[in-house]
Amino acid sequence: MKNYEIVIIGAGPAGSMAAQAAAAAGKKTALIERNEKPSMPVRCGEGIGRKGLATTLEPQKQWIKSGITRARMISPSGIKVEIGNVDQSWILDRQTMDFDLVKQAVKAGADFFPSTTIVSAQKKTNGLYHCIGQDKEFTANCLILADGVESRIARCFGWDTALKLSDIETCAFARVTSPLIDQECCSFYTGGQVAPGGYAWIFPRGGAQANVGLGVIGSKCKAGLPKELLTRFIELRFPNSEVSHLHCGGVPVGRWIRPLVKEGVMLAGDAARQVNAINGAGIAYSLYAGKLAGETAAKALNKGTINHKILLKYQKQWAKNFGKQQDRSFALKEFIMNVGDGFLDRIANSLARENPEKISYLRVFTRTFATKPTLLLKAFKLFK
Amino acid sequence: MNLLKNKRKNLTKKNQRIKIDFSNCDRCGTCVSVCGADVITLAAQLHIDNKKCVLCQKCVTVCPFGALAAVEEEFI
Repeated sequence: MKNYEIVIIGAGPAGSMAAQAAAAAGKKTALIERNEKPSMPVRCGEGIGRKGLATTLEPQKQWIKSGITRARMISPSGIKVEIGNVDQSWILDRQTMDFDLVKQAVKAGADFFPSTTIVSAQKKTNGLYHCIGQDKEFTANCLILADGVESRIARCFGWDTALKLSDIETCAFARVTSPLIDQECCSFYTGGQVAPGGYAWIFPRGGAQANVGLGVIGSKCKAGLPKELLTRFIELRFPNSEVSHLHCGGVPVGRWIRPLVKEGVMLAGDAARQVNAINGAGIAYSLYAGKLAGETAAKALNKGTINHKILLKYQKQWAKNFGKQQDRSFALKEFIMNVGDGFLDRIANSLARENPEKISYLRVFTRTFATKPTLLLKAFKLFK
Repeated sequence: MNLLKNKRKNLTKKNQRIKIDFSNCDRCGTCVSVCGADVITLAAQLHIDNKKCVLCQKCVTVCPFGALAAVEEEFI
């Protein structure tokens, strides 16, 4: 039995940030990871906005594979819209970044337990949380669950984390090496033929390589469909290319879980469904939420007793800074799921005639409303 | 004849189970995230508690690699 003040389950971006923050505040912290190493394998498109990363972290050179300022969106019928004016996006090397974040947490004083699976957890009468692993046991005053989309431990504390089929994108990821990859531009393909209820992406990572992947909404998925579609997508666009790192994973696209805090247990990252439902982006949110959860837990803990009022501030601050934005993305996603391919084609058609340098995400929005004015009314409800 | 039909019905309902194709499973946990009965666990290997499984087959639907399938028990 190992005793800690704060135990964090899952050493992804959220967990490592939480562990680093908690340990840096002088708390006795444990970081538990199911795999031998975090991010083994990487199940991620690895794209992130510069601003999103810089909100929480000082970006390190070795984490960044490439920097992109152009995007291309391809509508269901194949109309290309070039966007020349996007904020800089980075394609990350998640493996290096996740390793480094764990190292930073360890350096700050956290104990790291790799290859350790926690099977269940419960609150004991003495108020301590008891985590039962396959061969190790831990006790904690405060528990941070950052165990990813497959989070099960939260169910031990009464959270219903089972996702509806309409709230999960089931994804397949690959690394493709081909001279046909445009290294200057991120591409997004939409449409029922390519990725029903989702999209396919091409994120160049330099050296003729790119992360290629796609997501299919669970309600339109069939067993094995994402892998099938991805194989077809790669064969069609990059014939005779070298494909490696073929993996799969789920991306939660529902609303973030409420409450985020129950007594001394907190949720962070994919486990809390802190993902932008429109594009499935989650790295920046996880980093922010993890750090915030760790800091808040450290503040709330004093000589073994938890100040619940302080702990609840985690949810308040999350809602204020990113939660509301994610709620809007979720509402927008719900809308887009119902419009069909024809609507996307009409927007693309009207945008394709414009000068790429002048198209920004804002212009995409205004065009969307010009294509379907009744949307404006719905939008007011969303953004008020 | 009717008796036979009933028997078959029982066969498909009661003796189905979810089979994991381990050579195809990537251990991604997508199935775990949709399981409402909480019978799928992921440690070194994926495990399904077929005794408690309600056969909703959401896990089969969402598996990106198609590693899960509902099959009839071979021996009854």
